[in-house]
Amino acid sequence: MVFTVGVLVSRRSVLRGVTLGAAAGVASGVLSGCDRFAALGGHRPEPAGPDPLAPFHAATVRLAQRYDAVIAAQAPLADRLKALRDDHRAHAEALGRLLILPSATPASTPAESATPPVPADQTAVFNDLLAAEKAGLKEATDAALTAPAWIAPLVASIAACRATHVEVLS
Amino acid sequence: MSAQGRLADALRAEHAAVYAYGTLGAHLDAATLPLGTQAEAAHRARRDALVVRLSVGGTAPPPAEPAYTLPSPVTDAPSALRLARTVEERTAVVWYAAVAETAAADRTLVLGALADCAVRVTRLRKALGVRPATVPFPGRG
Repeated sequence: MVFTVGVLVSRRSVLRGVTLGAAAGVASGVLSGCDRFAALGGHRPEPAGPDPLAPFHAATVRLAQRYDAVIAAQAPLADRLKALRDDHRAHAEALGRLLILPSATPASTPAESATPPVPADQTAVFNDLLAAEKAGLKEATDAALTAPAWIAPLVASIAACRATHVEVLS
Repeated sequence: MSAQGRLADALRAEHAAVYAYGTLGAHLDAATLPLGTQAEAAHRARRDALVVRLSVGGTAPPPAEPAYTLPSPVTDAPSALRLARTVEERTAVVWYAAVAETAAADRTLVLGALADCAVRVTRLRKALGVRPATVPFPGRG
């Protein structure tokens, strides 16, 4: 699949500009052992201890767990919420593949892994999740702003996804 | 590619998006027209911000093409919404590709644009009845 980066093909010249096909080639699994997110911004530097983004990973895991708790307590909402939960799980997995994580992550300590109680009222449930998504969007945007080039695209994409969650829950 | 080059690509994408909405907007119905007009205004604003940013940085902003070929014919509201979705997804890919090379205020611009495209993709997926309405990695293509 080759089309111009300019979103639509110009009628004046179909060959104008870089092709997305080339960009996709760089970002696909062509480079073995290199995540497609990292491929855009180079390789991860040699690890020197846990990554500064480890707390962001832990917070992402907790966000997914929060949905797990709601889905367990409010089965009728499962249909609407599973896709959002799965997005967060995919984020945690992608971050986990790239980051050097501490052996005991903050998420594994009882105080922080405890998810807040799930309200009985559905409106309150959605308000809680919306607040959590808004906080998560700010966390991800802040992290993406300062993340090094090798992982910034992934964090930026996670932030964009959380923005869509806010949209869906609003 | 440099940050300037990535932002120039983003400007080319925004030019195409503005063109696409100008064409598809006529086919939207009362229910979906606000979606189209809001999106077109957002792309125009992003385009104008990029023109300023590139000019200040000493790069000649690439102009819009006189016309673009649409990937599929637009004949009614559903086909208009499908084109809008394609345009937003492709524009998100271009912004996503600009994340790594940008920093500070430029990266803030890129993050805002990527998130906005993603939100519009979600609105369009909802309008088209596509489930789920969200995707885990907007911009990844």
